[in-house]
Amino acid sequence: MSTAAHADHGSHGDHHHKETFISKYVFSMDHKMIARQFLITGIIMGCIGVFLSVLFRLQLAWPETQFGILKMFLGSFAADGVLSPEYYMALVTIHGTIMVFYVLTAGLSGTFSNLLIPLQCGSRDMASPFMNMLSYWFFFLSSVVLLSSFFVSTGPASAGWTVYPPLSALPKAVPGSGLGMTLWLTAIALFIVSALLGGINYISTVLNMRTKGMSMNRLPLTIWAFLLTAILGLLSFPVLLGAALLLIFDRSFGTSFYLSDIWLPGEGAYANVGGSPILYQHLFWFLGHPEVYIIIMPALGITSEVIATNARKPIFGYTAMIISLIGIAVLSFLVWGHHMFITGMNPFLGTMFMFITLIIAVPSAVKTFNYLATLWRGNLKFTPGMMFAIGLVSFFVSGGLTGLFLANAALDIAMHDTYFVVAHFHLVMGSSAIFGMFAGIYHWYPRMFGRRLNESLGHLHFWLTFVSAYLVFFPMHFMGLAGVPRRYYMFTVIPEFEIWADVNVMITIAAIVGSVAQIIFLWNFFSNIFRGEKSEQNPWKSNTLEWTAPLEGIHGNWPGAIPTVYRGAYEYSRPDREEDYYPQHIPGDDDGVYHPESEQKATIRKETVEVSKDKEIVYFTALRSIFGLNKG
Amino acid sequence: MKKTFKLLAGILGLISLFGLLHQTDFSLVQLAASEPSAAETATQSSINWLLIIVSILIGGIIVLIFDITNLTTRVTGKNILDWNKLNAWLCLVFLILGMGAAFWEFFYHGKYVITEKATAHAENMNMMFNATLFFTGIVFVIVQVLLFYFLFKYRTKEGRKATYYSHNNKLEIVWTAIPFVTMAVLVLMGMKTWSNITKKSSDNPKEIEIYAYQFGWNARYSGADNIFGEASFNYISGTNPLGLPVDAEIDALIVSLTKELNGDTIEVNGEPRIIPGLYTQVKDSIFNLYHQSLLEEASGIGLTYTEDKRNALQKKIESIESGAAMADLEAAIYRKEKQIQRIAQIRSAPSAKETIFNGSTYDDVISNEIHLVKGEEVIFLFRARDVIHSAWMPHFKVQMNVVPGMQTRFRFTPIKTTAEARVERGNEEYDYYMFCNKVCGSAHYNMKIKVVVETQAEFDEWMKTQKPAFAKVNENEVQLEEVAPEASDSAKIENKELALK
Amino acid sequence: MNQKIENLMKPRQESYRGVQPVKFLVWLIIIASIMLFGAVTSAIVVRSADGAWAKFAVPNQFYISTVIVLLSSLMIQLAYVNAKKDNLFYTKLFVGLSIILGVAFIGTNYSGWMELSNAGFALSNDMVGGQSASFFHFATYLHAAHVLLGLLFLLVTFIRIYQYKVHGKNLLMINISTTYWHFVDILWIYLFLFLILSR
Repeated sequence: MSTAAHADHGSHGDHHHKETFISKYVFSMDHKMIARQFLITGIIMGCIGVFLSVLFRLQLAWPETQFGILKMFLGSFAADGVLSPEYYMALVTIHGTIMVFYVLTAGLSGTFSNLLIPLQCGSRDMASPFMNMLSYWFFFLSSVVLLSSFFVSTGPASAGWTVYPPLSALPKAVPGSGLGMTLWLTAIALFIVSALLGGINYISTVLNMRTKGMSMNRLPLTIWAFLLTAILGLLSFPVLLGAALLLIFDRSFGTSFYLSDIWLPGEGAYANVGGSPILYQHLFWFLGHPEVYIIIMPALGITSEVIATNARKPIFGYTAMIISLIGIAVLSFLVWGHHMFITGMNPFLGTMFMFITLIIAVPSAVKTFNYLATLWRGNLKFTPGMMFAIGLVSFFVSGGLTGLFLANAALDIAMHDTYFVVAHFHLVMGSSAIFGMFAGIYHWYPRMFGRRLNESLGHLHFWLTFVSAYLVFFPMHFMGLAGVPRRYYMFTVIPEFEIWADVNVMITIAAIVGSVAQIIFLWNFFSNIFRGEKSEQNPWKSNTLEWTAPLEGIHGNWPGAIPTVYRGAYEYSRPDREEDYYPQHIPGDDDGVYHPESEQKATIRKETVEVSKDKEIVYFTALRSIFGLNKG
Repeated sequence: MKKTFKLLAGILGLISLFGLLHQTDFSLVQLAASEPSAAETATQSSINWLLIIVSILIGGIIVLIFDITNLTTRVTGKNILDWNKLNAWLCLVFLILGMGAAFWEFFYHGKYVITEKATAHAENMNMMFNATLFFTGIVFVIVQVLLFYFLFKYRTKEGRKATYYSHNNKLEIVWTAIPFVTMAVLVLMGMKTWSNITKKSSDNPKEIEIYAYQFGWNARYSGADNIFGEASFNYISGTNPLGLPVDAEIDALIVSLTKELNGDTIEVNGEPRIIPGLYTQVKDSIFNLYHQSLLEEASGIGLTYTEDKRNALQKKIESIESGAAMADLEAAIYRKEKQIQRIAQIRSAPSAKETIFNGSTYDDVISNEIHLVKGEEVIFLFRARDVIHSAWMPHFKVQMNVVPGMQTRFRFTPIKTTAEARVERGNEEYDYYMFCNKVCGSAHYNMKIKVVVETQAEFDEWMKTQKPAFAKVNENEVQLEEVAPEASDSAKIENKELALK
Repeated sequence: MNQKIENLMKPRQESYRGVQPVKFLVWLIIIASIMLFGAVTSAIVVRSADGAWAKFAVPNQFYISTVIVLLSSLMIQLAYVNAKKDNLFYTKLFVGLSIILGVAFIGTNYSGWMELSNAGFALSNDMVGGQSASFFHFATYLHAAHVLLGLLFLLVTFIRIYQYKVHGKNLLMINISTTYWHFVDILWIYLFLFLILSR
């Protein structure tokens, strides 16, 4: 870490503990270091998750081919180089768990909440730096516990990432439900503790520790997104903890909360009666659905910031963006049932869940339209961060629209648990959120490490990943609509699905290309920590506060007083300013809002003329004459 | 100078790596133990080569680009690639190619999408699907086109300033209202379709029980009396896999459970041999003795075992030493005692004779195929033995989870026979199947049952060939029937009870 | 060491708006706990609505526990009031009493669990509708875990009173403990009433 040279940090505060290597890099209580720790752990977990997906994609594309590479990595689980069905399921399960929790929850929101909340709100650190440190170390421990399940002789948990009982509760039903499952549950319990410790810190910091002038309606959208994400996590993770504890009791203490009427060969009838497996699903999805918004909302927040900065335009409809974020957050607690349409639920309940689920599409649509409007007539600078943010928007649209099919209880009967679902969530929350994460990494890399990434490699990385992600997930829609179920070890045993053999090969090749493209990123990321070009203070000419603090990252963030905030975060390209940005901390002679009263009429007239000269698309002129430009 | 050298070294290194791989034929990938056929080997190696070449090419490109751009930036102080311009054009290219590819997919793979009307509710659902596709398709095209077009159109240019345009409430209300109205339409349509499928039928549909277990399905028809007996997981045994309330089977089950607990004596070559029951096995002295003998085996004769056998032996010893074996034994005892207890409890209930053990299951038909009658409304009653499964019949647009300890149901009307489907596809071999669609264990991918839709006549013909379940599993009962063919149902049961005593 | 703890407790910010951030953290922890118990109790509601729900008599120990809980809530409140007035002796006394009552609570609960189990309503039972007892055990265990966390808070407070770190001008620690301890007590009242009504 390049900042080591600048260890003589600011002498702020009333505490002067000496910084050793351990206290600076390992048990650091500095939010910027914790953010880096989260990021690097997240990246490592991400590599593992992606690698696992390549392993099982090989199996899907060439089911009976022997791959030495599988034998090399998996040993007896892939005897003769062919993956065993049990281990295929374990790979799928751990891939899902790692990507959902470890990369896209901790790696994404953990990293950027930690980095940006104090910096963009103008705080010295988190409300409780100690809890923040604990949060990371619980996460680290949890990762270690999860990965250790690879070394269990019966294999890791293999009941799918949702670990539905009874499958996950019966070691005799699937080997992965033995010690592997115990480790999975332990890991998740630790993870929940980590997420809660982090989340309460984020909320408290945002609400109580903003600098002078930073009112809620001047907060950058990133912070709004992180705040709402943390609230979602705070309200939903305890429920998952409850579900997991009940499952742990069922597995280890002989209770029958989820178990009933089970008979297994060699075991006979189990003693458990009266439990309800569906109860687990209710509890799980009460977390599980907010969880997908926990994943996507930080990514959307990052996108808002990156797009506005690089389009050199105020984010369109700041208030609408916040309202839609809040709308999504509230509604996300009322829609969990759409994961359970075919569990035999009461049809009336199904109707309610369908109704609310479809309504949640409205705020999402508003967000998308607002992004488009932000790009419209911007001065777009295509930094790698910007490209990834745009990739997010594209994926969010493609994947979000298919959600309208799945939200429909009737259509869900014919689509539930097929490849259509796989395509849907990989686009809308997988690829989208990963792209949001990349956008954040490329955008705030100078903030984190004080150096710049190689831009060309960034663009190469973007295009390879973007194209291969579409190639991987787009054809899956059609597989799903043709009835191909997900989590199948191979399709050759069912003649009807054999037509997809060549598509499967194509998908796997695209997946491999996409995965290999990540090596570019890894190289770019890790090598430039040490040898990258030194970044200037505000490389993207951004308005927000994080670029006013020294990039070396001193304790307490600002050497002197914390800057005061005078306006919102998105005052780009203001007509009354020479420069196309207007940082939040620069005092202005106004109340922070641009009032174009006097210039307004002239501007409109001038611009209308200009536009018609440009022969810009006719309906935009029409739209403007209907709605009026620059009026609020 | 140093950079150029590095570049050259990189390229040379790649080339040599390439050559090396070529020579060694990449033994990592081809670790074939069996003898694959020539064609297999060919595809296999072509696949491997594809993988290798793709990764090497990408690796090469990375190194090249990285070093070239770095070099030129350092030398000229300017980026050799104007990424702003390049990206704008790439966006346009991506838009055109991507949209083209999406439409190609739509027409090429779109033809595999199941639009078949094999059930009465399929048409309704197809309409719903098309309506959703219509709305989402429009939004998809408009938004993606605008997105990439804007990127192209508004790329940064020297001296340009973006338009300061922070919000427009009217516009925002409009584009909130439009999706809202669209959603309202979809919700209303969806509710109608959903309630059509889930509503209770007025006329009594035919009931068929679908039974799921790891890893297969069974169908149970109620037989002539049209009544399913109340099956339970308590009664499941090797000869009564569905756990039907058949007294003789249950008696036999209890006998075998008791024997498992208390031990048994069997005759081997005319000599009696005692098989220790669980009660005996769990005794400390016996347990230690067993442990001792295993240890002796491991140190003596075990040394000559194959590796697998030795490992198995070692595992046994370990499970004893860790206490797992003891815990397993105790759990088994507990389970079996409980099971006997529960069965006794069920049987001792005053109304058990009339409601459960009334012989109504005896004529049930258990089949390895699901046979349905064209045009006849049917309701599937699902039951699972072990874990959650999901019954998935893609062509019928039927899916329902099968949950242990809870009955789920699905009602539908097949309207196309298998024969018709075969004609339609021009495939004489074609069959409908029901798959499992909820991950349930290692052979999940191969858990299927054939579904045959036929005319009433064909169905009756098939039903005649099916034997009632109890006759299949219970020989006593067959004899009884022969003894007293005229006896009424209840008398039959009494007879049987007497016979058993 | 003390300096370190001091640093952990204080946010590094010169000023904050609204609630003191660390105090706020405790409220957020309480919200998380509420969600956890909300999940458990709604699971109980859902399960008991399915029918087959065994009835059992709640042992008297749990009623004693309830009284203890109310008493200890009173004690900690008295401690807080005394700390405000810089009455350190009484603060010590009442915090100490709260801790003793907390331990006693765990004790009476333990004996209650034993009695319940001996009556056949153990955590792990395989009677029809035995989930009622399993859930009773589960929920009360979970509450006991919260009590243990509360005791940890109280112990730290107790030690810090001895170090003269708790007084009228430094109420943060005792404030946190009081808040959390009251929460645990209210939680018990809620949980106990709920369990009695739904058993």
